[in-house]
Amino acid sequence: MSALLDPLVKAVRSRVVSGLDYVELRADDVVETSIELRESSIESVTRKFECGHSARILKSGRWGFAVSDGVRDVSETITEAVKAASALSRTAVSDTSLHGVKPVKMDIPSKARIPLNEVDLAEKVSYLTSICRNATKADRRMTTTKASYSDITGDRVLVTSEGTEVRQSLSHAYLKTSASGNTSGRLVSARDEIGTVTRGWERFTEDGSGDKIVERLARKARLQMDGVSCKRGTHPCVISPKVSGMLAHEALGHLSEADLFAAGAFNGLEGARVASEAVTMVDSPWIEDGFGNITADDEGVLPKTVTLIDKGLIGAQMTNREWAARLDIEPTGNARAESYRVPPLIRMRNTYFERGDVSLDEMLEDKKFGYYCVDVSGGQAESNSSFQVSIQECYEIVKGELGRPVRSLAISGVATKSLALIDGVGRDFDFESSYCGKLLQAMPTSDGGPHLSFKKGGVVFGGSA
Amino acid sequence: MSKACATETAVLHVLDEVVASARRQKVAEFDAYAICTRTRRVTIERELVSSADSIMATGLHVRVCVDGKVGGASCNEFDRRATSECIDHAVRIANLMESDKNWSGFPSSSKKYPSVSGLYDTSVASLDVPVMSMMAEEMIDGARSVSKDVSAPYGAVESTGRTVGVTNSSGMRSVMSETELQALICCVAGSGESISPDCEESGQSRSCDLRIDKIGERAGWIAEKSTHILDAKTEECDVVFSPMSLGAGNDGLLNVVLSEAFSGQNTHQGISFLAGRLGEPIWSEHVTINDNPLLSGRCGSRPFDDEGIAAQKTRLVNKGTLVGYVWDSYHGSISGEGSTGNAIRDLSSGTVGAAPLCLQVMPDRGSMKSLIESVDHGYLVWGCQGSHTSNTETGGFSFVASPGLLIKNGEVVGGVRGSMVSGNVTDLMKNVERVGADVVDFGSALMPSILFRNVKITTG
Repeated sequence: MSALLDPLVKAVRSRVVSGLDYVELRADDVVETSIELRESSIESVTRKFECGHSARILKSGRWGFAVSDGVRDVSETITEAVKAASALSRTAVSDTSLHGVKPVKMDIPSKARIPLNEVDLAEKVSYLTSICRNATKADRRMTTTKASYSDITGDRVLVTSEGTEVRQSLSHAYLKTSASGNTSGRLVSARDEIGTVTRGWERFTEDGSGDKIVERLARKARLQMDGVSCKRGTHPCVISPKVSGMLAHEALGHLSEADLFAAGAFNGLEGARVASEAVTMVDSPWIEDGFGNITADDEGVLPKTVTLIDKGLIGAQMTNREWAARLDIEPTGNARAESYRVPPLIRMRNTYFERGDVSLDEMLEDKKFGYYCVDVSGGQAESNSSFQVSIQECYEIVKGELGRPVRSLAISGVATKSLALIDGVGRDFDFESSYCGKLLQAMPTSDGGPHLSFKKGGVVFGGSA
Repeated sequence: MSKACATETAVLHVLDEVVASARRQKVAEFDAYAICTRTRRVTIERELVSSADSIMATGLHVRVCVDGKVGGASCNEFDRRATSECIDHAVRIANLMESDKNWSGFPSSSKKYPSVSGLYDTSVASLDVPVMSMMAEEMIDGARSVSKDVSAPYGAVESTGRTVGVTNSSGMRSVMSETELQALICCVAGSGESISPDCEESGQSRSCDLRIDKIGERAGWIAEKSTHILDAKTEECDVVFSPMSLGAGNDGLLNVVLSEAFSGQNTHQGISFLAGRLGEPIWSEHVTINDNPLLSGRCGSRPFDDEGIAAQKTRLVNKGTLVGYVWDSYHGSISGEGSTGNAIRDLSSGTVGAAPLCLQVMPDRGSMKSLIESVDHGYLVWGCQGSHTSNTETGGFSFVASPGLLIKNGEVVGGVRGSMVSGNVTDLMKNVERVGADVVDFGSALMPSILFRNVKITTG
């Protein structure tokens, strides 16, 4: 028993839970370290200590949720959640049930070799300062470089009335860097992000990671400075693993989350062909260095890989226990919560297209004119499968060869139509780490795949901003 | 004692604990910010109220300065041990830092706070789950009243009571309470290829005066209109932007870009396209913008900022000419401009920077309908899909109009799919033709609808 687990276990065994369909208690006791740098100046260093818990209960088919600081009055929090569920109007949902699962008892240790909380703040600051300083030196036109680093260490626990007890030792870290410059009176900027939810400080120091960040930042900023404008309209294009990952996540992944599926463009298309047989896409709970890796989800479900698009056909949906019961399928372990402060939602983990058998050269060679999109800076999808992706590294393709760099731009399309226009799936694979937002919860995910080639009509280029 | 008074007492108590701890630990320079929120929320899922939440949260952020070296720490528990540890950690961090030659101390409370009315409404603070459930159902009914084809996959009604306090070693000791009622609904209509995009509509207020049914009706109307799909073409034409597409906190184009661009901190660091342009006529003369946190009952209004400095009205753009930026005390001091009472504190990262508290694009005349009626051929942008990816340093943007609608002869005739809108905020604001009078409160922005000329539209 731990100091965090004990009060939750005691509360879930107390009389306060009698008569309830289900009780789920979650608690965090964590320390978050944040460092903000500009050039070599430290703008802020802060340590945040957070300890709190929440209760999510199901009573007569109705959900109630309550949050409180510390872990002293867990029974009171359960009572508050019961009050909330009981006060819902008579016409509110009253038939919610959960798919049965076998209770699990797990202790998930951190896999960090160099624990984040054992690294001196001074070492972290020195590492970030070096990145900012070297990025500025890389090109004299670079005027401002910034680094935002945060890590979270500590314990997270889950206890349910069904007997599940999961204790997890957290080791989350994320670094976002940006470089801005000015060329002929025109401002440009580029950014880079890396993160881990499984490793420790070694994620930032091994394999020359800091130097690679500087190299990537400098290259992207230079391309923005020297790039030409993109031609508005639709063009044949090749997208890199990072961009195909963004497409997998934004345009297709969200549509396969069971809570969004019913109101989305995939509804009614179950099993329908939306792409060629070469296209398969999955959401996996674990890949090497994945930012979306989980061992158990936040309902205590052991997670499975879900095939969202199976050889071009619309495949399975990602579920939590509630939606698994509704759809009468096995839960996939996609219930994830940002922290104890919010209830779990159906979220992706590591979402990617599977490899194909085409090389990048083969994709480029048949294109007289088009674009090669390499790196992204964000994106968004809608339930009608419309997607928008911001591109921060892009090149022209001219007569099968890479041409001039292109300034920042955005691409868009309607995924249900775009997928059908994929005419090549690469044999390589890579992914990126980022945070996905859904109903104001930010969740670490990885998105990736191989290079993909699109015919004209698959992707719209919105012009350089 | 009212709930607000009790919470204010608790917040002042924790701030006094910080002062006592700092004295015990012989820390001469410090500041502290404490916040206590109580939120109730009912959630809509698949057109039904599906759950109720009750959330209590507290937060404390402390900064200390030791020999010109500044460190910070925060925690979420209001007790003596936690406050003492917070100070202790902040001191340890400060000791790792180098001395900041620009440091000029924490601000003093020299200016009297303005009187800002309508920030706290007991009827919002005491809203309970049954009443909020009924409000959510009223919003769903409003959406359904448009057409049986309209459904509401998600939405929420949320009431928040919040108390904020600031203290520092220069004698600051301030506390305020505020309430906020927010309602959001997403509607979709149609199916298959004619399915509408997510049509979100929201409203927020300090009091219970929200027309909840109208929020549902507007979302339902736009979803229903979006199912009749028409072809768009690549062109430059007139575009009416709805208040939501410009002012929403997460993805309203002007709110996203201008909140960063007007920050004195960013202009000082050269990472704003407005840097170095004070006094220049940069935009259309139809554009006047204030930061005005002194307006009665607005969700961005408040008497003091996150450092405890008196809030003020600051003119930023006067008939197209850039006349001001907003400042926190540190960056205002470095630049020589002084604070405008615009410090914003991020409890997680510990940063204190400058941003508009209530960005007010001054309204002119007419409703969004009258703006639409003045367009022979053009588009109505209701939402900006991907505008959060806009480059706030350069002002560049490229998003999908979603929902986007085609205007013909002064009327909305149907929806368009995948139409991209791109350009630069500076160019866009030069092309303002008319500003509406239909102001919507988004908290951090008060935004009317606006008609722009020569906007770049790209289709596939």
